[in-house]
Amino acid sequence: MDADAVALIERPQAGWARAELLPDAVERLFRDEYPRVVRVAYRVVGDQAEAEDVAQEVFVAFYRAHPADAPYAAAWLHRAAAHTALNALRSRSRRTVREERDASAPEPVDPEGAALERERAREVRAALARIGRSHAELLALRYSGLSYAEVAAATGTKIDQVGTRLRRAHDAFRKEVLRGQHR
Amino acid sequence: MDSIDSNEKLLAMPPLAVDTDAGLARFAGAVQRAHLAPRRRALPAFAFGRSTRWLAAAAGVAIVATTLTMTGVADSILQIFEAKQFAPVTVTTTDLQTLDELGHFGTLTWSAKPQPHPVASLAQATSETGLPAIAVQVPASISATPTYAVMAKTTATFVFDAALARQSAAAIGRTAPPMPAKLDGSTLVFTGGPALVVSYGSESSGKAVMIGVAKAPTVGSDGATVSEIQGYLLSQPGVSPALAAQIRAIGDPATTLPIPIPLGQATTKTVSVHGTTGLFVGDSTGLGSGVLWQQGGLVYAVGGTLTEAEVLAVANSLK
Repeated sequence: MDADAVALIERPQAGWARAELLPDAVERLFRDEYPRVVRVAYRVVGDQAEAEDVAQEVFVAFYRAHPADAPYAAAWLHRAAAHTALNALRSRSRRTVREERDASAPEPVDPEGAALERERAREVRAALARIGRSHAELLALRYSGLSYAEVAAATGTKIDQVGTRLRRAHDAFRKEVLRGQHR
Repeated sequence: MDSIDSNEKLLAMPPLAVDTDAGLARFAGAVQRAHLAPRRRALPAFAFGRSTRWLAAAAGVAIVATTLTMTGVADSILQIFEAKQFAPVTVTTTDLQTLDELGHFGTLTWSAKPQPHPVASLAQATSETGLPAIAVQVPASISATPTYAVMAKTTATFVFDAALARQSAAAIGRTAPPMPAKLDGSTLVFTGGPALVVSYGSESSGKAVMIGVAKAPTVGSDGATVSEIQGYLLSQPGVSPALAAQIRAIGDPATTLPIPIPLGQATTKTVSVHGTTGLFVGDSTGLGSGVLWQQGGLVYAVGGTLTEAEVLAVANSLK
């Protein structure tokens, strides 16, 4: 996320604006699609607050450049959510690697089960950040609950090809998780 | 769900409770603080949208920044501009609003308003426009069935009017800088097109590519020079010093068409296309991109929901 975007969507301390000042079509689109955009981003970044930041960035980008009643609006928002979230995840992965490398103190010892779960979640997201972008977007869209038709619309794929592409994405994802575990 | 294993279960986390009202309030706040206006028409125009709309947008750009043919125009009109290359110019929302107001400095009369319309075949498109047939290879993910749209040559005449400029400025509580006597009453003639656009994919799928070709737009003048017009327009209140500096920095204003790039929405760079220099424009979301170049008196544009590599591959496949 660039500095401009962060400044623009920074959470205000007080006085959030009244939504009724937005055009009806924009508010309608936001209400219809915001939950799904957050969910798509959440599948990728694994953190609700960060997913909401991504969703805000996506809606601001759409609002700036596209009419709210565009027939492609939902498909654009879904794909942009996956795309922007992957950018955030990849940026965070690089940052985490750097932070871990730079850390001088040992990490505190957590209860075993929680630590394992956290480690696996971290590995899964790291794998998602490393596989091909189209595979990662496809998985994020599907696991956020989008139908095959919606995934097809968001990715510009024919609906009868979604299943095949998802299987390929799953294969690439599993291989990358295994590869990460053996590092 | 599709053959979930334990790793994928971690991706398919339980449904989130999303607070849409809070999200909407935050979004409305961001929009208001940044003074963003809702987009009524898709921008960048190449990213999505039907080809006829794209042609209309292209015609608008051509008319604002360029264009002319001498047919039917008095002998005193001399060509002062022909788009041979392109220069990106970063504009802010305020700049865009000011540019919208530039029409208040005189009267614009269309001899033929742009009327883009779909046609059934490439043969019909080339027959109506006189432009060469174009063919490209599109990425496999985009439907390979093309649709066609054309626009005939369009001409508009603009006459500078100092009294109108004063009235327009007064109406919005401003004082207009004096219009140079040489400009008052002087005439510009813009001509754009003909143009044709070939489109693949569809709006509904969100995956589309368009290839456009048009006669390079030109501008004629009965006396005022490019630098005189530029100097007057850039002295208007509301034109930011940054925008004015960018336009003044254009090395050859008689052949360089400024392409407005809204701040923060797109990135640009020069690229090599068909052995010449083109302007690449990438949507800042990474979802759309386009490339623009001029060759043999024709302006070519390729754009869509493509990556940089894809858009350049399509552009270079053009025959």
